[in-house]
Amino acid sequence: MNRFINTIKREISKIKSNKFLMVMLFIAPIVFSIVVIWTFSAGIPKNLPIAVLDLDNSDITRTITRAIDSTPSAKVRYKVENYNQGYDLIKEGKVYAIIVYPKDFKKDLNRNNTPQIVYYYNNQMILIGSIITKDIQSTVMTLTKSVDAQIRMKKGLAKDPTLSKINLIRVDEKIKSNPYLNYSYFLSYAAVAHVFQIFAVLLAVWTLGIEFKEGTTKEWLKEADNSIISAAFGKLSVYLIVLLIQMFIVYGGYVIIYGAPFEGNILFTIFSSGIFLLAYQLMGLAFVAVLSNLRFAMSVGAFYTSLGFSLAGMTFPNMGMPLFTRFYSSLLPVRPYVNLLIDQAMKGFMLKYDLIYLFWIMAIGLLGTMFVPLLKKHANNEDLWYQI
Amino acid sequence: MVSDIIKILKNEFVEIFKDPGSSLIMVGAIFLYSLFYTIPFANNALRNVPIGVVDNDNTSLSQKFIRDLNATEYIEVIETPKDIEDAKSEYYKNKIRAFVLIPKDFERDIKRGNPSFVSSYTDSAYLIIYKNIATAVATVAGETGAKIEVGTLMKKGTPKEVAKSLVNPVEFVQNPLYNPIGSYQNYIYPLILIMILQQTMLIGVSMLNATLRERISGFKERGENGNWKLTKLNAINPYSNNPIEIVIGKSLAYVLLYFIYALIFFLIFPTLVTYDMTYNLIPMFLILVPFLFASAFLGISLVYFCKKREISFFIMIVSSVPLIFLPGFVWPKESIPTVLNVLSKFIPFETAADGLVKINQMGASFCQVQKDFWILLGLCCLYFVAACYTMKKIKSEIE
Repeated sequence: MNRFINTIKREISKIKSNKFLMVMLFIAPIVFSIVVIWTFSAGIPKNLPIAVLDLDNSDITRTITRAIDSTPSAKVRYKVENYNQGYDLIKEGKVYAIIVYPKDFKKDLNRNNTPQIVYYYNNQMILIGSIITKDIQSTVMTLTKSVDAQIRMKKGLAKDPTLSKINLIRVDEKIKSNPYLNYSYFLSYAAVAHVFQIFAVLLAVWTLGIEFKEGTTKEWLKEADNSIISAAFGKLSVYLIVLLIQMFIVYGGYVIIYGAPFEGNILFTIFSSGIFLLAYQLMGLAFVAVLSNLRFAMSVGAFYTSLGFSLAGMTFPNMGMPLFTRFYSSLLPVRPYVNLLIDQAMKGFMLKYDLIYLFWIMAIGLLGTMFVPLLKKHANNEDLWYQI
Repeated sequence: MVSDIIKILKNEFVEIFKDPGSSLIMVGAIFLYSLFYTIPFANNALRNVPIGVVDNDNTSLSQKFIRDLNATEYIEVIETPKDIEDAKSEYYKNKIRAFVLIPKDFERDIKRGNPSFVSSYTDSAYLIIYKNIATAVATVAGETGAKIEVGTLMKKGTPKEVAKSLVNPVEFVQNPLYNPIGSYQNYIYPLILIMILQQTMLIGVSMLNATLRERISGFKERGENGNWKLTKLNAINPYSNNPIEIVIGKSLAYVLLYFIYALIFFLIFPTLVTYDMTYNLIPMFLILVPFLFASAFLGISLVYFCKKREISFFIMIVSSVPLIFLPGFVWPKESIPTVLNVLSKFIPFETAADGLVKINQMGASFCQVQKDFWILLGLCCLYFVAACYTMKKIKSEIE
């Protein structure tokens, strides 16, 4: 136990004497988490600009435009005279979509000619495009049906009671999780996990690797009476505790101050978060053990974590990825961890369904632990010192 | 002066390839990253999300409804659990991502012209999965309902065309501009390539120059007798002592190298990896060149904060997290807080991504992205001054 405490004492005095490390450890994880949460703080994107090309300019088209304008996601910012003006606005990034009413729209509607409303949208921005499209489509379909029915009633046509104003088969959406349909909760939870995995790996690699670069590996081992277990875990535990506390503060603040949902088991989530950070630290340890070169291990650690966000399936789901990627991404603790976190925070899943994710993270941690003996072997080799 | 700059440029090329760290990042990683990133999204779009359907009606109409759901490209009905509890348990086990409940008397109600509610229990945490399920269920429900309504009206003597227009008075036509198949790769990959250019350049450049700084303050090497000894560098560059010349010479080396990478990324890759490209070359170069210079100058400027060569990794990798969200492709600019939008203008990638995607993928002309050009030019000036100042500081550290 003494060996363990000595290592911790040595590490704390190292942190105290390194200003950059102090900033990276105590300030940066929180600042970057806040930036990420802040980016998505608007919740659901609202009032995204669109343009209207109204070649009919009748009372009906104006009614539809007003209705579209009042949907939450879209805002009619421009009324254009021709197609080219509309395309230019899209290319300049000033609008995301154009709605076109053809000439004689109203006449055709009255004559049962089924006129078209043509909707052009910027599909280069897939996620944004799909948010507006859904809103506009449902507004247009519902409104035209009821406007049409009114016209017919006035004319004394189609008093057919069986003709419902909206669809015969209605879809009642029971949203199981994220009932707020607030995509930002999901993105923020995941992105914060991504931030912390980066710090867990890079801090572990840096503080272990610097012993090689500065030629202090023997001194570090000596402090722990040559016990690599105490030396390695003593060192990692300092960063683990600080990062875990910060993670708790960030997620806690997000739930309490911002009002994000958390419906699951808090203790289980905290425990899993600790294992998540530790698994990453141990993978960082493995990189240093194999390469014994700070700079090289940092490159590998950076590569390992940088793909975390995309591969955890946050923007594009994992199940749609090729086999190779699914296999590779299973070596990243962030993938099971985000599943577990989302289940616990937003879906309120029972513990038993998420244990498998916890075991998965532990397995990755064990993989890293297997490199501890190699680390000891390399730490005793002076030829590996001072490498750039 | 010019001949000195050329010597510095040549020397810097040698340095890039000689240093194992910078050559790994600026030569190896750039291709590793760019190839690796083509894999995850190679399937382009998500298809056949597994769902379950609880059929409480069990009639020919409900069976047809299930078959129609299964026929869509978006979802696949892999299970028909007997009740909601059964379906929930499959959902918790992550076997199905959603389930649909067809109510009892579904067929009877509809045949009598009474609306019937199909409930879809969806998992909206993952937006793309949710969208697939919602689209499939809404489409099938809408089409099935409309068909039956038209049929009912026709039975009552309404002509088919009139019946159709009564049920759907207006046709809503969706036309995607750019990226017509909605490929996720086409959307994310161009952004990632631009990001790789900036991030590897920043890491490589700041590592090379932080190494210079580190060597000025002293480094250990094996002496003739095999013992470690401390050596110090006593000049910032073998060919010049003028910070401005050095910054220009070094940056030219970085920009030339990266210009070649950019040509490979934007001219050759689109033929190998499926992503759209307009080959709108002149506007592209007008954005690309100031972008590369701004990144090179910024890389040198960052050394102001890096006393050790590894520190550049920290700054770059950590900062890459918010970077990808800020150009407005993942999350709309209109919904990002103004302060962050303004701050992001100081990062070359943010403006370059906006300009390059508009030119390369959307076919914008130079006039349409002029603003981006001027911002990048401004950043070049700003970071050039900062880079010269940093180089002067490194020079002042020579004892």
